[in-house]
Amino acid sequence: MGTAAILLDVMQLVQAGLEFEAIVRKVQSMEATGATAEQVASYLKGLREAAKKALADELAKA
Amino acid sequence: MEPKPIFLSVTFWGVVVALVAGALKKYGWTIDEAGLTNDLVSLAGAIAALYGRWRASQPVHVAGIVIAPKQGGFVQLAFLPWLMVVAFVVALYGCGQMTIHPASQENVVKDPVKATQNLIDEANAGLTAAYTTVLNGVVSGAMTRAEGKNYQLQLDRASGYIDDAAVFLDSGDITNAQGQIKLANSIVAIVQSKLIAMKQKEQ
Repeated sequence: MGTAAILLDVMQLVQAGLEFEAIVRKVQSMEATGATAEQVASYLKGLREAAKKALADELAKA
Repeated sequence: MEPKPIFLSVTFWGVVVALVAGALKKYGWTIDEAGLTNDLVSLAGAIAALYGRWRASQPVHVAGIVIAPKQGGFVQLAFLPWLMVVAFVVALYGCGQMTIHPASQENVVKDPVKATQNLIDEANAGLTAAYTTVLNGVVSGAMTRAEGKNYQLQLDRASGYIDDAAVFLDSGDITNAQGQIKLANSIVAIVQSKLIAMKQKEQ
């Protein structure tokens, strides 16, 4: 994943009040330790699914 | 360490190329900066070689046959054409390898599969952030549950597009994969702009 693109996302998301740097650090550390593209992709998709489920769970509350 | 002329410096040409690339980008064009820098350094090296031969004090020979006499200056002209041919063939070949293309195709030239996977990764990261922002908004009461559900629907649609993109990519259909990513990104961009506007309104 392009670091510049992540940083661009971070710039936008900091405005939205998010702690997005953790994702960036995690991806960078994965890339530094030789993670494959598939592993990075799987991590980011898992993260998305976790965030999706958290929102769905919250909205499902009465 | 021997000082070297600045025009043989990769850093120097890197800066020049970066400046040119920045200017070109404004007009919708990108260049392969690393490739162009290498080409320019090679060209500078070839020119330096020509200049060195011009000022040479030693003859050049191949297998005992003198192909350039030791005197410098105009007597080297017999040798220069050969050097020039080699230099320009190398330079032209290098330029032939250089890619200059519209910015919109920047990521699809060298390795379209990898570039498309990167786009999917970035879209997933953007979606994660958007979901989290909506969740925070609902939990904090900054947005109503109805608003949260509306955002959820849009983000779920975008997630679906990204999953479709991954399927297209797995089957080697780059065009449709990138089309799905664009759809997803347009949704995420709209949601993010609304969320940012909402946050700014709060502040």
